[in-house]
Amino acid sequence: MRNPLVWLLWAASAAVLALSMRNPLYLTLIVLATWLVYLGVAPDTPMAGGWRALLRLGLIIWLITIPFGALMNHTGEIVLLSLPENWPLIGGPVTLEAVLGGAASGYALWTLLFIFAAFNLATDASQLMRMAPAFLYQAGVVATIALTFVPQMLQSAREIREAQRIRGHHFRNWRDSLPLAMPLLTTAFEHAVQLAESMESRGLSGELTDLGPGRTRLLRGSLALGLLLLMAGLVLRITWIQAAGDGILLAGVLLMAGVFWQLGRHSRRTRYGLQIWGPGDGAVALGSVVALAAGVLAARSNPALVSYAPHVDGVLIPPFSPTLGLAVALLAVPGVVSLVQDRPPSVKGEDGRPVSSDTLP
Amino acid sequence: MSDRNRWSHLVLMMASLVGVLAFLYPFLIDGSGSGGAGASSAAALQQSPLLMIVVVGLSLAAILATLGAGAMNARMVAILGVLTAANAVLRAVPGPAGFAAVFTLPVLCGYAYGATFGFLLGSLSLLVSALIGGGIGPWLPYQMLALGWVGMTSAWIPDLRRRPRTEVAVLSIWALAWGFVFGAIMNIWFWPYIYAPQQSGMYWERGQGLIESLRSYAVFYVVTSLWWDLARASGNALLTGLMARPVLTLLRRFERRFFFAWTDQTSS
Repeated sequence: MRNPLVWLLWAASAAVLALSMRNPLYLTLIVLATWLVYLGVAPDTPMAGGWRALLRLGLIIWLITIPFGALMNHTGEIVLLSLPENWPLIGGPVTLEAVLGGAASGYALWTLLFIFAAFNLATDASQLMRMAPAFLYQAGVVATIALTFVPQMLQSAREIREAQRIRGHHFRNWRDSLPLAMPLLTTAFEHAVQLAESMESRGLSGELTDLGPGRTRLLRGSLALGLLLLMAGLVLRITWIQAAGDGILLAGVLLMAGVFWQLGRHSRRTRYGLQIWGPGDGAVALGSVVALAAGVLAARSNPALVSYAPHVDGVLIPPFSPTLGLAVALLAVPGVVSLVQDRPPSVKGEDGRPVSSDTLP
Repeated sequence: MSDRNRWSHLVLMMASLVGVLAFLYPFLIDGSGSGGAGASSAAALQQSPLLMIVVVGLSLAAILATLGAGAMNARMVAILGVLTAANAVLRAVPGPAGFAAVFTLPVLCGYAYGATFGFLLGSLSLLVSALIGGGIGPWLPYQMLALGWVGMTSAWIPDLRRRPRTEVAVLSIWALAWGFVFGAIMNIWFWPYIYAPQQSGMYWERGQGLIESLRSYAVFYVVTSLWWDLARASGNALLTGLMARPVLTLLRRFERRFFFAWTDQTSS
């Protein structure tokens, strides 16, 4: 198991690259890297089957997007076939450029799906919840309560179902679910009352920060200002000069990040069981950061290298830079590390049975 | 309304506005506005998913962070947590029925307990169900914001408890409408991957690109997602119609037990 922070870093880097690139050559590199990672994590988890189904569904969506893009877009030189001009929206020439553009876009979307399949298989819910940033503490508490209550509620759903069956109730169609749902909700509310009372008796109130009224007002005002800046930046970006909009957006993002940081600094919490930073984690983190930085720099300095729009500029063969390709391939580091390092011998004991860490005398 | 509630409501509204703008963003780049040729507008559109995710994520974080600034008490935390769990369990029903169930509670709770509560219930139940089912991805902020809006806007329905029949009917129609709107909103996150704008030289008038892309989106929605949404929306309406009366009775009974101490002591 890798440190969840490292997984988050890897997924964020890969996702930002996949979101900002349409060039199929780099996307293929990302897919290959993710595939290595996927091989490293998938066998350990029962969730893999669901994701395989979703990935197949993603392929079907990809196949739908290609004709859709090709029928809607009529720019380009190489005409494959022509539909009558008087058909609304789809009438006009169908070009090779539009087909290729649609295929590349669908590929980018599927790459994104694949990255998050690997990410979801690699991490688990409780680990991720522990990493909730400090300023989201309250929401984290709510989500943790919910996660804890889910198994309990599934249990009480079973019990209610059994009890209703004993009374002669048949669960045949959706109409019959009311005698199940209502007792379930009532039980949930009773649990909530008990929980609230026990939380209050242990001194947990809504107030988790120790900010004075003046600072609170300042932070509130800054948050509102940050949202206003985001709004203004978006509007400017659409209507006027893109660069000015970008500047204001960046200012808004920085302001809000500052407010979140301040809020987080003032919420006090204690951590039990620190996450271990394992031997391979540094390599994975470094690889992800380098790949991300290279991709972002390339997108800034030479947008034509990462974007792919044959229907606009007529370039059919996407450009490729080996340096950037090498940097993107660094996303495969977690896969390589886990194939080299983490594979079973260490998991099994001498008698072939798995060794568990909690077999203390 | 206390100072704190007013404040969290203000952030909710502003962040929602930013979210609406982010959702509309891919339609508003039409090549004529950003002053460039088709190539630059295509590049802007290709970059838009990243920008939208950042903006939507930030506005969502702003809403959730205002809770940390003291807008909630222990009772609210507990009841939100447990109702979120209930909603996630209801979603475990397979098929469109499960997704319909995810809508019913935010609609009813938003209607009974107010906009902030409805928003939080909607968005947090999707977060929890993504954590349980391993459905984390770039679509999650959009889903959370959209289902949050379902709960938030349900608070805008006037209180109809004097006319129970009308109440049930209005809530079912509301759920039906949201079934379609939610589907239409959720398709937008991958819309820039499907649609590529034509060169701006083709347009004679400013804004023509917007009409064109909205028309394409409408066609795409009808062709691909309408049928699924039809099943979901009718499921919503049926389930809400079925559950509205008993659940509202329950919510109002517990409202007295939960929110009785919900006044601001500093103001009195």
